[in-house]
Amino acid sequence: MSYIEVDHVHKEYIRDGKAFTVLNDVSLNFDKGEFICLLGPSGCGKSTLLNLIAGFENCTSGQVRIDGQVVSQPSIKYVTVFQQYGLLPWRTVLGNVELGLESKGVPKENRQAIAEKYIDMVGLTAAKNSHPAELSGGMQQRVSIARAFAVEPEIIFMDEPFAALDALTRMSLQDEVTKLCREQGKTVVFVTHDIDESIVLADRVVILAANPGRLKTIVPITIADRSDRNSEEFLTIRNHIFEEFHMAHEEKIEYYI
Amino acid sequence: MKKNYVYIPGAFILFVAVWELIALAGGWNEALFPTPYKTALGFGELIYDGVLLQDIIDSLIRFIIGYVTAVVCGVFLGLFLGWYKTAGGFVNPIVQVLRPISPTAWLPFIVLIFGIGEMPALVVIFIAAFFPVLLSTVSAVNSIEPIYLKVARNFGIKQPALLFKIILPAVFPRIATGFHLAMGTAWVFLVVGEMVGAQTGLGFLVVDMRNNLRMDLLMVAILVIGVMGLWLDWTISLFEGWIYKRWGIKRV
Repeated sequence: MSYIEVDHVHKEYIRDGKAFTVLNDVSLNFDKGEFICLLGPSGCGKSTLLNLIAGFENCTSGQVRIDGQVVSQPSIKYVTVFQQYGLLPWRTVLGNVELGLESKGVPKENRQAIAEKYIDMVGLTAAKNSHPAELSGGMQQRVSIARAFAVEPEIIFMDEPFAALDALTRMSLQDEVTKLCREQGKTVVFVTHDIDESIVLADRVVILAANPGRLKTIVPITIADRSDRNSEEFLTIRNHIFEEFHMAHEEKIEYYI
Repeated sequence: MKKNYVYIPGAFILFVAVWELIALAGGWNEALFPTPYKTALGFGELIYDGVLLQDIIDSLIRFIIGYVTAVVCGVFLGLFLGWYKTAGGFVNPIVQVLRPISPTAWLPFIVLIFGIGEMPALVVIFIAAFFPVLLSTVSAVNSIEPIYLKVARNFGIKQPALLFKIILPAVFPRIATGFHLAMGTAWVFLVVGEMVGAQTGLGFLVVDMRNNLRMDLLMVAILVIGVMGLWLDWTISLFEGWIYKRWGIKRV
């Protein structure tokens, strides 16, 4: 039994009275401690799939199980980091990181120390009393990552968390996140449409195709040095994924015709 | 606004000049249309015998009681109606019918229910402030950023923590706009409210001076109402600005 089981998941939306298939019979198995990237073109249902695994939405048929339990709603054991950060603008950095600790029932006197530890981990100690509006996008996303780690979840879900950031910030955050998640042995499911990002981060890249959203293939990433984006290995895998991706695109075009 | 130190004294001089011109051109008896000079003397008189200050304080106390009650009721009812859509659906048509009615139209009923004296003023201010606050709260709750609710679900934040930690602060900037609107409207109706049996206050001063044919003092009362309204508006603007800054919203 795998840690996360996506078992024949099918998702439809009703739009203008017509059923519209977002995900068609997707089955996947992820192990504990794995870093998984869901990669695909827009409209392939990768964010929907993440929402289903995280419990924000429910499957039309099939089911998602985590640790053997069927997922039907979100849990503080599995925290999601969103593209739009989802920080509360009326709380300071410290207050935002303490949010999850409050509902976990961590005593008041311990909260601040825990929050400070994770704020330090993402390198924002100097800004701990600032409000989100005073921070850059990259810094805000660090706060959101600290907030997720602070409740010590078993799984971290990330929905295109770096898509709104500039290239340099994105690259440094990619390196940091992959390091942090591996150090802490977190299981991560990370949605992206950026091929390089998926290679830097993932143990396995799940490639989805669009119209309707479905599983295309799974590419394991076995590179010694992930941070070197120009190595022979990196480029070989990149080409391989690009081809799969491209084929996914072509099929999509044929589908339209 | 820049150069306020030029504009404000300039506006004051312009205002007094136009007023003086109207007084001169009209050629009315000074007892019927006071000149700026006579009004200034009247102002001194009212300050000197302490009447004006007492009226300002009494009006402000009434205003604050009526306004704060309206804000508290409006926000809580608005949160309820915004959050529980079915209840909101039933109540909304009633609110839409009651909202455009001037609070003064209710006066006979207000007097019937609450008698004359303090209460009519409070009730009129309450009605005037209540609807802008209620409506802005309902619309703010309806347009709350879905991501805040998603984060709350993820972290397992349930009622009543959801209300106080997430919903209320999330809608606050938009409610603050309602507070501002409500304050302006309520201040306008303060005068009307105080005309029904109140024995103090700026509204009473207006009625009293009219009855005593002291138009110079009436003019003082009118101008003080205007200046106080401006001051209240300025105060709440500061508050609104602070909220916007804290929440990181750019002013449009």
